[in-house]
Amino acid sequence: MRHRLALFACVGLAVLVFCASAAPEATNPFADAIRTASPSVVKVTAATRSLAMGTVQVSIASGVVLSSDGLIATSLSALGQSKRPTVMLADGSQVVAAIVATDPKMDIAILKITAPGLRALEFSTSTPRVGQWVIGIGNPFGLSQTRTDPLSVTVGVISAIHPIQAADYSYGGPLIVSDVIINPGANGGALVDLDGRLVGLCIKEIRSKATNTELSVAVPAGDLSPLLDMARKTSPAPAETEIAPARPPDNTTAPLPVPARPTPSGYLGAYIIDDAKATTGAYVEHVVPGSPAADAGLKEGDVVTTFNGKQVPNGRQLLQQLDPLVVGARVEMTVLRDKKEVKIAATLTRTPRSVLK
Amino acid sequence: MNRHRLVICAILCAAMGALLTGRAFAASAGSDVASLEKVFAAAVARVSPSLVSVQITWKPGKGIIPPMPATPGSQAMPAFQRGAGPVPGVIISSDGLIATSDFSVNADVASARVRLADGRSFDAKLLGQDVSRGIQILQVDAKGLPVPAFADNAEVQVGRWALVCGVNESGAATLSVGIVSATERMAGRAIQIDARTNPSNYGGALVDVQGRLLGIVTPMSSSARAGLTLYDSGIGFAVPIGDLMKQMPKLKAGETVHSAFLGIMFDSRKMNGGALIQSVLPGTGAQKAGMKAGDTITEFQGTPIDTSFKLLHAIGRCCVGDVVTFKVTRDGKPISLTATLGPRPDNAP
Repeated sequence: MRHRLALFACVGLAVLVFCASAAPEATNPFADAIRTASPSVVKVTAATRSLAMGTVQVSIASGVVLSSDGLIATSLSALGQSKRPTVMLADGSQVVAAIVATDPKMDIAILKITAPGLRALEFSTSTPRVGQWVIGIGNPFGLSQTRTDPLSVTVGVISAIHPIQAADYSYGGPLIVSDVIINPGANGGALVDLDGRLVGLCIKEIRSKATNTELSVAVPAGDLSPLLDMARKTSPAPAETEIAPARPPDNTTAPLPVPARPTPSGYLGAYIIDDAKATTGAYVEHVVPGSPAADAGLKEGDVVTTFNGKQVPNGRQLLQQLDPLVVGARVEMTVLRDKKEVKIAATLTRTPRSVLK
Repeated sequence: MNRHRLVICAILCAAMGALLTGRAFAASAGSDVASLEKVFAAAVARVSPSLVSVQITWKPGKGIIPPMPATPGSQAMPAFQRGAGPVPGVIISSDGLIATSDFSVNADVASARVRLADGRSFDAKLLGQDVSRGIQILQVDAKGLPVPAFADNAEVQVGRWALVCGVNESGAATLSVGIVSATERMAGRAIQIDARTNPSNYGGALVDVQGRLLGIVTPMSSSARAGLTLYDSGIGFAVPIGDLMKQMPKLKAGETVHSAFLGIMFDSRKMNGGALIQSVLPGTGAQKAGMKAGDTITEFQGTPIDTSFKLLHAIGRCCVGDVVTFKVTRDGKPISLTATLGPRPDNAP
């Protein structure tokens, strides 16, 4: 009996020791991911001076370091009219940045700074999936008030991966919708997985008029690559420009570094119903008078069945095919009108500026 | 006798095992949802005997905050009907001290009726209010009440689970789950969490996965309206219990605790080597302590101050009347100074 007692006591002691040594949550995956990713998330402030009002509007956003040579992704709309936003690094130092590439549809700008010891956030290698844990890192409401105050982190799951149509946000690709709340100021921040790798870049909240709710969305990390490539062309790595010998003057074929200004996205001028049921093709609800669509002869009630040689199963697919096209792109469509097939060709133009009269 | 001990031992082992697995579950946040639910439920069960519900009667005319017209920089706000509860509170001493948020219970109440988890009800006496932290202390005439285990400030770490426990209409515990978003918020006075917080759980307990009390949930603002602006936004605040207990002698005596003001302006560009004083405001604690422009504060209450902002948080945790010690460097020589912190003067910049 005594023997057993001693044995039990031993087990008890062992458990106790184990408890003490395995400190609770020593390996908390959230904390680990935050530790990995946080040093690569920065605060961004942009001052817009209003000459008419004589005031300075300062907006706060977040940003993510994407390369150790100083490329930082942030929210474009948060920059306002500012040409030289300020980036505040994790150690509290401040650097003035240049805007080297922008994508108004995605609402993303790539900034360039020169600072030592920058750590790029690695991109997540796995495909994001609904239900996956994600952590948002940013500076909502400028809560990180002083330069050395830490950023805010928040945890949630991916709710959906889906394109979203919104009046004030026109990027057509699938977006990561999550239940992580992205408050003003956290836009431009990082959405990371439990390995602390970038899943998406948080953008502004999208408000649904249908349900009067706000969605927190992030642009998938992979979608940033084209913009990054554009930024690299605009701002060659400093090491390259310093070390590379000057080009021979006769080398006229080498393209001059052109400041990247994204070719404006194309405009057709037709309203498409994106989720019409029990139809094949994209139903044209309205054609804007004077638009390329109207000039080409597209009419209200037409159903677009093929677009540039590809079948169009529904409106959403047509919108997705249209989305990457830029000004000057030639498009050919087959439409069904009064049970007859009609061929239509149009050239996309610039989106007209809305004029208030 | 032996058998008795054996049984106790076995129970102890089982309990340890449960605790251990609880910790293991908590560690593998992403892997085992069902186990995680058990951990959350166990944490709530541990703290719920210490949760109370408070029913409030407001003084005549104080039950409604009048509407506010729009001003440059702020939106118009409609009138706000203050709630009658039940709102949560947390027992912080076995002899009847209860902490709650001053959003829900403050000097504007005519009476506050506290119901304990065991069903007993008491009329509470209002003791002190910590205005700087948004906390109201109540007292009920009862002894031997269950006090939750307090977590150390060091246990509050970014990324750890943060569970907000409030009470529902019938006094049972409610739960809202999130993580610690940041520490040292609001001039060093608050923990920031992403669990949903709102007027129904202001005054509740912020606990960790082991049910230990980290802090008291409150909107951390001087105006009741500000508590509404951030509600359910994924940004919540709680006052660390350790910091609150330090103010308890004053609060128990019914005093109101205000945030302190030192009276210096420092160079915010200086990122290391201490806080460089740019100017000293006349009539403040800093001037009376003999601080001078050009001094560099290197130590506060024995803690080294490397960046100026660390000083900001250190002062932020103090309250009016605190006597604090500094080490400053003047003309290359270290000097020790003692200051009595006063309130923020009305004319302070």
